[in-house]
Amino acid sequence: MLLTIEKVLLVRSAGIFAEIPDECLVEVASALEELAVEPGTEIIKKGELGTSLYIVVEGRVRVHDGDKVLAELGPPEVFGELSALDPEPPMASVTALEPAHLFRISQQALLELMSEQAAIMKGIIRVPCRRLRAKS
Amino acid sequence: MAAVTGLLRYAGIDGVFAAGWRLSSLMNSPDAADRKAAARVLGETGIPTFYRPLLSLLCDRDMAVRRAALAPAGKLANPRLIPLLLANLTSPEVRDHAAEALVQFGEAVIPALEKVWGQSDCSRPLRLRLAQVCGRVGGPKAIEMLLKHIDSRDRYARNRVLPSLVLCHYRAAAEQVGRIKDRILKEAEAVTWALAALADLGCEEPVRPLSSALSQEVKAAQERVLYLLSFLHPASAILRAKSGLESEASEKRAEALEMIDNLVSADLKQVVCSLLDDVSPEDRLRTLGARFPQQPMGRNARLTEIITQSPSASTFWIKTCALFAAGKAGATECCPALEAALPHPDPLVRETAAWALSVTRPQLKGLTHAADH
Repeated sequence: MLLTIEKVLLVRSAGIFAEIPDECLVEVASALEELAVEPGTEIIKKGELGTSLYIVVEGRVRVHDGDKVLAELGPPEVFGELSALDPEPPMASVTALEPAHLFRISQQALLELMSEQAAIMKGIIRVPCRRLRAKS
Repeated sequence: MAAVTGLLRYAGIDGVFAAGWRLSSLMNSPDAADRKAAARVLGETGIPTFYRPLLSLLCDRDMAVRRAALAPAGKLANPRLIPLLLANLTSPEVRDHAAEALVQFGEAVIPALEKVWGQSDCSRPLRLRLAQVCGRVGGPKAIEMLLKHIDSRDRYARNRVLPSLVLCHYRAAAEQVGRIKDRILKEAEAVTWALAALADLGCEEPVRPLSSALSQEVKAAQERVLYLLSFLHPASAILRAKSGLESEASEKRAEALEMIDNLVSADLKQVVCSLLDDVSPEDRLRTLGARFPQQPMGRNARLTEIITQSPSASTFWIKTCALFAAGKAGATECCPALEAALPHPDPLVRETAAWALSVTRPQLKGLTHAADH
């Protein structure tokens, strides 16, 4: 069982939350759900509407399109962030490769936190902005 | 629905009787869509005295119905609705709509906001939302209320009150200049203390979260100082400088600092420049320390100081990080402070204090045991 402060520190280590002040992350930590998944569990299914953001706390997951592996993610990487911000069926599936411990934040909770705390909104928006700038 | 609205608005008492049964059946319907439609009708009538039916819709078990009722509540702006709007300000699902409705009341809502703020059971998040609403309402009454809290012991409240005053286009009158300047100096003193604590704590693993929290507090205090300066000097220039200081480009930061140097009055210049200059924390501590002398301390003494400080001196988060550091470092000499933190009003502080005590007390017992032998 993790302490709330440990959850905050884990959440902060995930890129998307890195620039959010710690005290705002206390609210994020209180809104998240802890999940333990077995190897082979399909956490996100391609084409099925997903509305949650996940943070890998322990273990590894694979992002794949059928047999084609797109990425392997481990702590403290994030997946599902686009679906959580703008619900659309995902372009790939995510499956646990080994026993994994995940944090899940629902779209509803994320949007509420964003509307409540400008710092959370700024921190979250900054990440796709940077990705876009890096691409162009 | 248009017919019901028309009857209520234009057909006098006969219209109210004719449409009343339909409105009542919509409001009492088990279907949430009907109750939402009733809320829409009430908004479209736009008659402020026709607020009573909204009272039950604003307490509806279905949050979508409450959201639908909050829009007409703002439109009707009947003061009797204010207590329910304030109650909805605490529900995450509807608080944005409740805030929007309260803003539509204009200055008439300020005394109610002030009353809630003053209540002993008013939570920190609610106070922050009240400050936000106040800033959006604007005007002399909102400014008067916000000014009462610029010296609040709660830093989070100050973090929200100051940008709200900016939203109100507040400019310090001659008799308030001294108070604003005094506040700037207090913020600078608090930054100096945080920098001294950072120097004493170092940045090794057990104290890393605490160091990060203190560094964030320094940044927040710098931001508060910039807001305060915007009340004394041309606000648009100060706020432009503020966004320049947030830039990652060093030339933009340098430009912003030059702007501040040119704008700030001579009596504050040295402190403000020391506070905002693009220098290392050590250099900042050196210059600010000359004005606000600090006493160096050992790591555990500094942890004890932070844990036992009054809530106005350190935030719940800084205290939590200090407790976590004490637990991680097995700082047995902090045990009395850890015990003192157990009844703290913040649940996060209590949880971390209990954990820290559970990991340090056995070590303390071990040490006592060894000493006995």
